[in-house]
Amino acid sequence: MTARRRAMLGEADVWALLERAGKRGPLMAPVKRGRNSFAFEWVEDPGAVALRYVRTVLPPKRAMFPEREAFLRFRRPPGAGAEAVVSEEPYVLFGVHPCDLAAINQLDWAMGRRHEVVDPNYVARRGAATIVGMECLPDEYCFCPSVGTCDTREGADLFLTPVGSGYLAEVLTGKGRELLDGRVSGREASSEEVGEAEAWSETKRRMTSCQVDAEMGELADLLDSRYESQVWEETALRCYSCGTCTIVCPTCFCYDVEDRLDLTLMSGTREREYDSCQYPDFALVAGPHNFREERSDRVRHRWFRKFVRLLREYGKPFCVGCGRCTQSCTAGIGLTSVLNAVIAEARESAA
Amino acid sequence: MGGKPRVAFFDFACCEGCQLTVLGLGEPLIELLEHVEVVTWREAMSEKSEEFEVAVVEGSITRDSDVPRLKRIREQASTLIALGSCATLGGPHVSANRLDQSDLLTMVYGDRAREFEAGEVRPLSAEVQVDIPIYGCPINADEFVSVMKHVLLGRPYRVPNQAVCHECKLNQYECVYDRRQICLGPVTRCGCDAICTSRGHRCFGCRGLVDDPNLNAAREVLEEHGYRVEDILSVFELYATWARPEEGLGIVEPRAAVKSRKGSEPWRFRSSI
Amino acid sequence: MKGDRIGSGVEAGLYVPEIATIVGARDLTWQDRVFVVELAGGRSLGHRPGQFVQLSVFGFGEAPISVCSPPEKAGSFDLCVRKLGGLTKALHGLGPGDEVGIRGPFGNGFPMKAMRGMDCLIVAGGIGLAPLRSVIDSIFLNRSEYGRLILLYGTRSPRDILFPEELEAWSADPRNEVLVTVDEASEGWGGHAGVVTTLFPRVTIDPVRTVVVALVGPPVMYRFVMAELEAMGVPEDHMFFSLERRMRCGVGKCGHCQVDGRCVCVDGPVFSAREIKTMKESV
Repeated sequence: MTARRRAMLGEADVWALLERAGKRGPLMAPVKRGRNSFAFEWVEDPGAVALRYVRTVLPPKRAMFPEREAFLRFRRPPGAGAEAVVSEEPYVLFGVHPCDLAAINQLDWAMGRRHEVVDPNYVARRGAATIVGMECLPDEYCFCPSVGTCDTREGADLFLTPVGSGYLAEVLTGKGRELLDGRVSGREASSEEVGEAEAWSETKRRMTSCQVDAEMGELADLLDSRYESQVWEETALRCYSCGTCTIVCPTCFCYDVEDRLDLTLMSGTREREYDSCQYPDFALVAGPHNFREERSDRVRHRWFRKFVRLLREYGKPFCVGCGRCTQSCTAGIGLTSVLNAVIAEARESAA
Repeated sequence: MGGKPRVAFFDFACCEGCQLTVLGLGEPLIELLEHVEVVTWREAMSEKSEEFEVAVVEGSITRDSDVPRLKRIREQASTLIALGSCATLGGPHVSANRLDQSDLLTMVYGDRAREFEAGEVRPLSAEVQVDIPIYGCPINADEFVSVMKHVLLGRPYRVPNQAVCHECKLNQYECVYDRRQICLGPVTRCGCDAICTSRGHRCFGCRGLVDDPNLNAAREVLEEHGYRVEDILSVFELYATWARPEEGLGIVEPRAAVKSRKGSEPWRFRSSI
Repeated sequence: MKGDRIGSGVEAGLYVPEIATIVGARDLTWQDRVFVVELAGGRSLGHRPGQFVQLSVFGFGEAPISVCSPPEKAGSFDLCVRKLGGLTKALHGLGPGDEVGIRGPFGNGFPMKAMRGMDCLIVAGGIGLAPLRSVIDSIFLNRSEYGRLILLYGTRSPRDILFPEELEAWSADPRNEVLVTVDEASEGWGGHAGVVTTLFPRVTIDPVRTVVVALVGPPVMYRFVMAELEAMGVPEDHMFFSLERRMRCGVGKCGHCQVDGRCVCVDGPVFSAREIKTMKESV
């Protein structure tokens, strides 16, 4: 492990940090939306930031991969033209939990490096970010220990862990140091404080009740053996194909593209918006032929994509255990419930 | 067509709220008028013309005597746009179809019942071909502008076919189910930008069902939340009566293993809506 | 949002179409039109047979279209487009002098190297002939480098036959065999009737020295063609199929063309039968 600077901040220091970050440029942070609902938003008032939350509706990926984004401006012929719309304005993304940090790392690969193609919009927004991570405690939907994301620091520039009445700040990058230095009056953390921060990992593991009943290394083969499982059909009986699970997913990155004209009818923007493999026409081609026409085809696709296909290609599942999909499924379909049902079947049939 | 396309607005049985939504557009309406000539619009002007290319029709058909007028509009228009829930789905007054027509007339008009005509309430599509449906009660003004841009460009309009959940989640609204209320969002066609859930309401289903709604799931989930079948049907009947498929309402019990806590331990809800 | 250009190291233009000009257009059938497209200054597209471009009709969107001319053709390239949806209908209304947007070329293309010195069996269904025309023309322009050329082409009805003059010209060469069939024979059609697989018994091939490239329409036809070829003894790594998906981005990001872990737009669209057999939901 590289030597990091660890500073102790009081809560007032964190508010001061938010205040400064907000003055310096755009600030995205979690804010409270409903009784138990939080959202990552561009905040005008740093005082509205929620320091403690379990999960947000949309993950913080929206800072670098917005749910709706114009990426091209065009003029229609005659004299047609097109130019990229890319934003590089520096901003601070505050309060990102370890699972969401892991998801950002996965998107860095999917949008930034996969197929050796760089998505300019994602990479520009990602490069413009200073990310402040924040330690958290799980609820009944979290399963980060199962997918190995609960101690993620990579991707953060500064990471805060609540210790006593304050926060232990780990400075992880130059950007993180710059955000902290000269702005807040941290003091060097004591070894007791460092120990208390490090104990979080164990506490989180102990408090997590939801889990995947398999090692990640065996998961792809287990699922692959149950491609024809009845579980997909049974899950489909409950599934609305509403797409919520994928829209709220921090690792999903599929999008649809649409041209929108100005009212001049002569120019417009090309925009992308989160799309979902659960929508009936996602795999539709001319003909028409639909490669995943049945709801159960689409249900299976979601688990296969995350735990077989991208897992094999990337080396880790495209799931970080944040629990958003399960928590927000109005039909009560649980990601780990389905996964574990298939795992149990696979073990049974192998035995 | 030479010059600007001519647009005519018409209405049948409705509250005219969708036309009012168009009138309330403000600047985009002024900009649209750069590209079209409005030749008939009872709600907004006194001039009238029988010559038009685009017909925007609000309201449902409730009297047989309305049908010839609608058919004349259809014959004249190269593009017929059905405006709002009444025109696209029949509207809330489809509930009148459940009652006996003469009872209904007596109930409303008493001794004068015989002076009035009433029939089955139906959407425009029951009588003529609709080119573009704009759903909603009332419509989403932005969608109207978008549809007009498509018409002007000659581009087919792709009617939204995702559930309201799609837009609700994109806007990060608190899930209505998490507020311990039920919501028709998971089976209702979006395009409204989840306006009701943004204001703390539930989705009432005013844009009708998505093309492939999982009504089995809807019924099962609502029952788990303490609703009876009659309650569930009455929720759907506000807007989706005309289109409600009778099949697919049977319940198939999925294995408990695939349900999470949220599904297997239903919360306690009040049992009426 | 700012319209700034992105800093060094990142290609800002990944999603930016180049403005290209239609320099020629002619109707091939009642629903197909071929466009000759020129990039600025007559710059070469630099494609391989079987690759596609993302074509923009601004205001309507962008769609993947296979290039149907050979790489050897200088100065411009051809796109054969069937009138199906809003974008293609709008495109059909365009002609010489009109501007469109082009990104690409994308995808892997057909295995021209593997075909060198071999007999080439080309199986085309419907609009599938268009991308395969780039293969056939390329073989023609380098005729001595290839063995026999057999084209089996099936389409719906006589009025749907694409490139009729070229079919004539290809069959005039004694080293070639061109067989055409229609699903629905109409009055006056003196040729073969039946789906494309009914042509297989009419040709004799040396399965060991034959490479097959195919683009045959609905997925079920891929399975039939594959089975026929296997029965004829063609090894599965000598058969190449171009898959159709509705790519939004063309560069492996948007997710629409994913097939069992592969992206048709970057890993394909051409896959060997061996690969296709291991790819679930591919055909």
